Amino acid sequence: MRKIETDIAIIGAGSAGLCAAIQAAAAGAGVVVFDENQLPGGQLFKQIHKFFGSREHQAGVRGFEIGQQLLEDVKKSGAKVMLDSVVYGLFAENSLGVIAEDKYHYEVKAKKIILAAGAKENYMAFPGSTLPGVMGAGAAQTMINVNRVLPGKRIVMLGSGNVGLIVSYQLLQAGAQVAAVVEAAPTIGGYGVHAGKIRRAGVPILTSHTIKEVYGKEEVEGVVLAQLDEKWQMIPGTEQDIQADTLCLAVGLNPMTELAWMAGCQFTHIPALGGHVPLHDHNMETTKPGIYVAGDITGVEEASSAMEEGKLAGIAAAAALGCLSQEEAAAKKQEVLRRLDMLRTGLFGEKRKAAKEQQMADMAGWQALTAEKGGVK
Amino acid sequence: MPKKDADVIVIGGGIIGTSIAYQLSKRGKKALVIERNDLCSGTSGACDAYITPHTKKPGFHLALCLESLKLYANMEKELGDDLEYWQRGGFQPCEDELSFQLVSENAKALMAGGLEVKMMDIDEFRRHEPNMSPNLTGALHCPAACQVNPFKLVMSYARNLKKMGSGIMVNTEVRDLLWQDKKVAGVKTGKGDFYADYVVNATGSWGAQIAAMAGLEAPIEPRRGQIIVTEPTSTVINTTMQSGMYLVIKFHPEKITDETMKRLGSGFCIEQTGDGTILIGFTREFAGYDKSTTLEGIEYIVNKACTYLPCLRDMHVIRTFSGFRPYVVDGLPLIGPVEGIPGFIMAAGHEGDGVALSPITGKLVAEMIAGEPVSFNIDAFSPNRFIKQAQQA
Repeated sequence: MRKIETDIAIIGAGSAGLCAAIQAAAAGAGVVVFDENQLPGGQLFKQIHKFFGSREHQAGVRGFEIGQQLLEDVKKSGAKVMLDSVVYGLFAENSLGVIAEDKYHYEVKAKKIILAAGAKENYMAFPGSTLPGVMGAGAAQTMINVNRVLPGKRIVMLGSGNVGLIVSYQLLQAGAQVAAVVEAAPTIGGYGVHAGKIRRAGVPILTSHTIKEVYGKEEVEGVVLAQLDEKWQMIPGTEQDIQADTLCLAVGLNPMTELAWMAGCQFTHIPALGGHVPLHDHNMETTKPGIYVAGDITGVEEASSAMEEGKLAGIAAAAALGCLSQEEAAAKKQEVLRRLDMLRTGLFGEKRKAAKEQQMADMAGWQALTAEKGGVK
Repeated sequence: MPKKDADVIVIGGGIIGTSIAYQLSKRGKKALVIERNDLCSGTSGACDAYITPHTKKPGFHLALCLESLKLYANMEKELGDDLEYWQRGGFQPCEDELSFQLVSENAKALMAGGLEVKMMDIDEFRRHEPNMSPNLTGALHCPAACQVNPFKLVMSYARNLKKMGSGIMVNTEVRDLLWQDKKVAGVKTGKGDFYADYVVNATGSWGAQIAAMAGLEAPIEPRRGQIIVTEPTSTVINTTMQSGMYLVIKFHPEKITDETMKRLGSGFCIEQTGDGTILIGFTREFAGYDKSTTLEGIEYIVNKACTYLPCLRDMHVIRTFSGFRPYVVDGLPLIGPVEGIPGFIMAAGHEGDGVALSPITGKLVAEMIAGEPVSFNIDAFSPNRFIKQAQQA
């Protein structure tokens, strides 16, 4: 077993992890970032669409361009990035088990740990759901935008949230046909501007519909849809058969919280954030002192807020190590918190804001309870 | 005496406690299993699945295991459930000359004790298990070795005992024992008091705490065993295996030069489960009730496993876990009544043999309580051996 010692270890080189690394390294902390993928940037490099929000949130800039900028900033910051390196466990005394690119086994000892592992796609089971050709919408997006491979020629998308809408549009741009976007709810889930683009391209969005089954011999050959009544039950006789070779599932994401569970962090269940999420305070620190979280692992949002949360965790961890004065840290944090607040406005933002407030309130409740019992053990 | 809630209260809902309650129910006794967490949530849910007579001490221990094996042979039929019970034989592979020599000597003692075993050189061994490393020195083969899924067995005992009118209470912690006329008469729990003619302590690694409530000093300590689990795969091994190094660790610790091996009490054991995952162990460490896995333990197990079975190098580990083995200093469980504590019966301290000895422990304890002739001389396992020791000291 080889050993690495560092001030701050960050798990995940996506938008949150890289932003945390830049902030912490710029403050003078020694930083190592680990990612199991061969390329850094997390989801940013497959996001070829322009971001929303204000100028300071880089609105109008495409995701992969933001990613390129982040990589340059990381390089300048002095943080080390270890790719193709799986962090398989978080053990006692902040030590990480890592299988690195060189295939050696490392024990990484860090004074502070920032978990920025992101989220994974939800799956759905129905007859035929294990046939080749049924895949996550995120997987399809990686295929077209990163690997430049079309997952299929004729595609049905299940889910009309922003992921479903954007990936449908990008599949069209990549040269596939999108036969339909299917949505179980009575209304479209994502932004009108994204829905408008695919509607103008002639793709039907079928609300109050779901997948009854997928059929095919060796792989997907068709999808049977059915209409749902107001109790979300399939209405017999409304089945329609759509020929397709691919079905993409855009049915939400859930936080990749395994390492936080393993560390013994306290959790709360908030469906709006994707399920079980670790409790954290305004510094992004969990109930385990010295372990921070940032990005989708704290609750599924989007890249802009992940980046801000990453910055916050990076600043807080560096400050806790004495790399920043109280005043410097407070000023930086205030800036980030202001931008985070702006991101959590509007119809979608308000829901997330309420959910995040719930998470913080649960954290405060936990803190009060442990203080009563005589502090953290 | 307050109203009786059952004939017998069995504390502990693991593979020993549910077996006892099942065997009692078969004999027309009403048992009440009281479990602090959930069924199979302690050692029985954090172990492997071996039923291996060849790892038992020749003598009473081996004889007891052979009795248990006989009961296992009919268990699926008797319980009416699929228990993933397979008799596919077991090997004890050896990684050096010393362990081969010790295993060979032990083989003679096992055969003298009535167990059919055979020493194989590496070529013969690899004809049975072609994926094993050619660098090993050979193996002991025991055709009688079996495996069983402990979760399925416990759940099946539970279903069957309930069908016969006995009961199970989970999430119920025993806080103290209740006494009537200097006899143990029940248990005080977080959900109230419960009375019975007998109270059986089947709490395994936690056995010493319950024994202490009865005033018995039972030398049972939790010994942590770490296990890793791989992704499901096609058949890699046909049998269960436990390395011969175990004997070296046990009988010739001075000959072990590997400090980590000594510290972790680590050897190699492996089995493939019904769904294709591979369980690999093991460590035997004293770490109190700390159930975490450690980087050192995992690394040791993984490396050791790859030297025995090189094809594992290309597989993914999907999980690690640890459980407590109820260690007793002389390697034998505590089964039977206790001198001076009427109404209280011990059935704990099986260390790594709980799965193997589950049926016979249940049967013997049930026979004792039902007043039937006890079908196996259990003097060697009597908890009283430690009372005498304490008195002599």
